[in-house]
Amino acid sequence: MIKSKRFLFTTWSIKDKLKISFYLTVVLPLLVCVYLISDYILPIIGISAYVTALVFLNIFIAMIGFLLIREAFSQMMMENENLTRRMEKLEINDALTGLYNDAFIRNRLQEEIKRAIIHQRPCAFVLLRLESFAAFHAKFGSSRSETVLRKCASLIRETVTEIDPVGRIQENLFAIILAERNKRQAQRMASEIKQKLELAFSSEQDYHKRFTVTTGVSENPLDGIRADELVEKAQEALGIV
Amino acid sequence: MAMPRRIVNKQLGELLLERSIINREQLEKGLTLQKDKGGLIGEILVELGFAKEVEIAHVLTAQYGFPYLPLGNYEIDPDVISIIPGRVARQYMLIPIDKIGNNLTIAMSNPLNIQAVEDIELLSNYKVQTFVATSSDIKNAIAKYYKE
Repeated sequence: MIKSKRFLFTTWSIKDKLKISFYLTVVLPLLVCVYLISDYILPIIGISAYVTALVFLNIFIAMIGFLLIREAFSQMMMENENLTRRMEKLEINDALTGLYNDAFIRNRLQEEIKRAIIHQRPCAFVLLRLESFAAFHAKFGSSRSETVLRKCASLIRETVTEIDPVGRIQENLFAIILAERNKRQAQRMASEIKQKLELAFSSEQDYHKRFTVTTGVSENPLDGIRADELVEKAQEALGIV
Repeated sequence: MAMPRRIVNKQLGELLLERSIINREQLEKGLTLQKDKGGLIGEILVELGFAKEVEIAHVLTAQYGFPYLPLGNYEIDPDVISIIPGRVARQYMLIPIDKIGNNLTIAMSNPLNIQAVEDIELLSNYKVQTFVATSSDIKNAIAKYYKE
């Protein structure tokens, strides 16, 4: 739980804060008002200084109540943000395509590299980028762009085996982990997927709707022994880095 | 790869069994351990004391035609070593030993690892010829020649 040091009552639980703030802002001022009206306003006798003091006391109590409520809500919001962050960390899928997300792909790649080192086998990593996607998005909008990305995801998934992890790690950038495949095998696979994706959009009359695909392949151990090294090398091959 | 060899689909464990180097019980124990902890069956059988590294190297030589090379007193040219990075040599358990013209000779503990041979060809642009060596010979050579 994140604690603020702004007030003395910061360490109180949200439930206690809300309960006390309720009494302070509603019940106590109400009782004071009833007392003032019955004893001083109604008889209208000259004891105004005492009445003013009581009104200020009332305002002071109400202010403490307000600060407590603010503190309680701020604490709730911080907890909510932390929960959302934790949920995001646990999320492994890209919501649009159902493929794995960037964080999952990187973690999984690191695991596959460790396995490859133990078994003295290679592990390849492939990046596929859909070119001219930004222009397509600007011209045809989000809905059509999402359809294109889902179609690409489906075609890639169909081409690789069931156990090969596939992800969308940036808007128009797909990644595949090919465990126990070396660079040549991965290059062949990347080339096959590239052809398939380009063919899928090649019959479009409007050239804005036709796509080319760029591929980048890296491999453990040739290009490194860590996931970030393989991602960087594949990005270099794509011309990103 | 230029090296001619017989195509045999039998696993190393079966070959060791056929040659009575290990028995069925020992093979099963080795395979169970491999399933649990991973690793190569040849190395596991050696660790368990069921087979010797040299016996495994000889089986690979006899069955597949890879020549056996004891690396003990072999001196390797640093220029040859620089062809293959240390991380690649360690992961594939191999070491380059010589280059003549467009041919690079490497010693490997598992010459059946075709993917490794392909990687070396891709990396070096040489045609690769493979020798068999024991894992400990290769580990010692890697420790000697790769300082990284």
